Amino acid sequence: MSEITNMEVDLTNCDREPIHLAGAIQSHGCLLAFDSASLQLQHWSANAAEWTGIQPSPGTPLDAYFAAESSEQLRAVIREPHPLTHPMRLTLSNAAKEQRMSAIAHCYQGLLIVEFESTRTTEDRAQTLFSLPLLMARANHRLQACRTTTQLHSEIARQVRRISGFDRVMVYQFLDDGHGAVVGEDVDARFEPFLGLHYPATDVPAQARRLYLLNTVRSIADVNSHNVPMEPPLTPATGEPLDLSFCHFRAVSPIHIEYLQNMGVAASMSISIVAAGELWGLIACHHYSPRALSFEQRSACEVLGVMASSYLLTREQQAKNDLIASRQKLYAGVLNTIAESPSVHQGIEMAAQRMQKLVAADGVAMLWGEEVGIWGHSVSPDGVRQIVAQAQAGGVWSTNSLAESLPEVDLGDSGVCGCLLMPIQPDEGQYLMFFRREYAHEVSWAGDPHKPATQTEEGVRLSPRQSFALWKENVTGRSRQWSEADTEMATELRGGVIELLGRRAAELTRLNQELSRLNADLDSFAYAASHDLREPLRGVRQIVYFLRQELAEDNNQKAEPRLVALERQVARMSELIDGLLRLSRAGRGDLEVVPFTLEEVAREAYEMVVEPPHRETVVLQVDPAVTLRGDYICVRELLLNLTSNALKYNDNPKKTIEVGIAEPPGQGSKKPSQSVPVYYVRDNGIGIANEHLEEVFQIFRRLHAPDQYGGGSGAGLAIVKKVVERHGGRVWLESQVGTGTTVFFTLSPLQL
Amino acid sequence: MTTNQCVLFLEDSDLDFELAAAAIQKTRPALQVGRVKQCSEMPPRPCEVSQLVVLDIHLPDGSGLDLIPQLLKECGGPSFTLVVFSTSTSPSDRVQALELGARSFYVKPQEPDQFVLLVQTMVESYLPE
Repeated sequence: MSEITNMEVDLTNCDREPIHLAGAIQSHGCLLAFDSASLQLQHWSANAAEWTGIQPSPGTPLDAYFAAESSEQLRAVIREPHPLTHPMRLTLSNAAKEQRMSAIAHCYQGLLIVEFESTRTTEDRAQTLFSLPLLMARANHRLQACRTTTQLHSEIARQVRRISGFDRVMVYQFLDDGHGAVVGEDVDARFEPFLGLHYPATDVPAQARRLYLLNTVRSIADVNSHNVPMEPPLTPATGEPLDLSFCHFRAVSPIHIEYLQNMGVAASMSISIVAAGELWGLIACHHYSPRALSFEQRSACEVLGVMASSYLLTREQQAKNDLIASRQKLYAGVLNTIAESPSVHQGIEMAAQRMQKLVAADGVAMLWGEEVGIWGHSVSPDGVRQIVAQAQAGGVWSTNSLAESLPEVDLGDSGVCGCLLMPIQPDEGQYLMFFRREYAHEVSWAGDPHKPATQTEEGVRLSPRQSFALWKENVTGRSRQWSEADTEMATELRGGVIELLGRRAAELTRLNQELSRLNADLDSFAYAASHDLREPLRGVRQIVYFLRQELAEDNNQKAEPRLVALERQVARMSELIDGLLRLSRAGRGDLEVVPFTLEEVAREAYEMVVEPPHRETVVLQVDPAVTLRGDYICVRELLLNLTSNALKYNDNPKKTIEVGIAEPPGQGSKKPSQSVPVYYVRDNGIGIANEHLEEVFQIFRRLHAPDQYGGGSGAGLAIVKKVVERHGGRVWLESQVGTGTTVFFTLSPLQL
Repeated sequence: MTTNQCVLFLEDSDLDFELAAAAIQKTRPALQVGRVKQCSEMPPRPCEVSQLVVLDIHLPDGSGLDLIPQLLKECGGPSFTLVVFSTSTSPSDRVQALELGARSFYVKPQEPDQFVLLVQTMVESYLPE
């Protein structure tokens, strides 16, 4: 035995095991290696004498082994670009053992390597050769007819099994991180199916995967037969063992043999499925008794592998396109929902459930300022905030293990592992995130690994079920990885939402401008209407004046009450029009903001409202220290209306009006901060009931009969509100019936 | 004073003129009251017929204010008075009228009684008996 085969191999180092330097071949074949220049024998398998009838020794010429015609065929192989393998029929020169043998030859690293296969394994050669093309054609039709990827996976297994006759044929796909799963299977009913089982990456080590790309069909005819060592173990010239990378009968890694033995497998074959230069997966065949295939059968399986690769690639591309198409459709629907919602925020809430399908997530969460929304499998609202705080993501960010990436996030018992985070407007604290649950959780539903585990002997290290368990351990705490397509979709969604937000903001600006314009139009209209209405109204009064005189001349006194009623209506209308005119004036023109004292403006308003004879019974108290900024005329109009109301709705013989600056109690959320001055006008009038505190600001809203409290248009507080709002301020009331009313107002926005 | 005293109104509103005329009739029955309805009807030298001209501002064919410079140019002198009597409350109208040389700017009261009183006072001020 060579040093190589004696090398201790276990699970920790099998990734480095040099299996292409196995130093031995399987017992159902024979190998001769000639120097391709001198055509002299360099290496031979220990069973060479038995197979060829010639005692091998270094330097034996090629012609000594083969008849002239065969020898010429082999020389032709040397001239071919290597390392292609060439199937052929060779005739040995040894007369005693003259027979034609099935062989394959290839050139590699300066050596012509010839492998013979035992004819004992090909007893049904004629039958096989007859049916192989038919079987291949039928396989092709079957694969073509498959409608889904899943169907295709199992059909590939079925067709390979039909041609090869193995007890079990599996389609094994490499997935994330080199781990893999049985995605298709055809198995004799006597055996337990492995369909759906996942295996850790260590089950097919990296160097095996590399070799599978070079050498697309490997077979082991009898796991339990002894290997035939190569002689001499090392090439004398180089001191290196013979490189068996392209040898069909290369002896198999002892660890692989053990793996197969554990499963009770006696013979195996694996065919590489290569797609776009990458090892997509394997067609793995197991037989529970020794089984050797002819070169023809192996070749048929190899071609089937190529055929399967091409169908799989097409099908996968199709599935990918279908997925993209369905996601695009879904995406369009989601964006539509958001666009048609009253706000982007509400739109996302409405579309959340569909949104998670866009990236095949199990849950979704939204952080929108202070507000958190969660749907499906998600971390808690606090967890959502922690993820945003700790991920510090500038763009789309993802992990398949939150526990590992952000260990401080409290995941609770959410079962969430994967997270795809999309900042929308980080400055506004707006984020979206998707979640995925543990991969193992997902897979245990996907496959059919529900039969109890097969009996395994003590000390067995690996079996399919144990492998599955190991894989599950490997992926504990991890979700399926976010694919490039997922990230792309998330990026697109993020862009879409940001664009909608931008559009919404632009629309809001436009609406605001429109509203301002409409307001200005309305003010202009109100002004024009009220101004022009005054004229005919004056005319009506004049007509009443003449009518009264003319009726008096006729001694007609009956009409007098009618005339009085008419005058009263006209007076009322006149009041309303005046109110409207004053209100529209308060809303027109540009504000000229200047500083002035509260006292001067309050005093002037007082003098405009209170006629000199009444000034003794109406007391004005103003805080003389207060200076304010605003449009003087507007503020005077405001105080004028408040002073007027203070007098009008007041039964006290001595009426007081107090004007000053205040910090009012009990305004709750309306309570202004210290930096914004709040002015007040307080009277000792009749007060306003709580239920009317809001409606008194409506235009023409009076709480009393037209002839009570001196009439009035009911425009006063509407004018006050208009003036305050034009300054960007707020106005509100506190009042107690029978005690008085205090009107508070600011002339700049409150800071909340 | 002559018995031929006359006040001339530039006034498009029939009601306003009728009320003004009635007001004058009450206190000054001898005073002649004349009227033109629009700017174009105003005689070039009203002082030839009238000692007091009362101008409205907003008229169908223009603004009474525009007539002031020409009228005062033709009828300058202490025996001729020109006043504005309008519904306009615009400060700029008032300022403009006074700057152009109008003696006074009266706003037409909404109340007929006050209207009558104002017209009577106005006439008494500029055309005393």
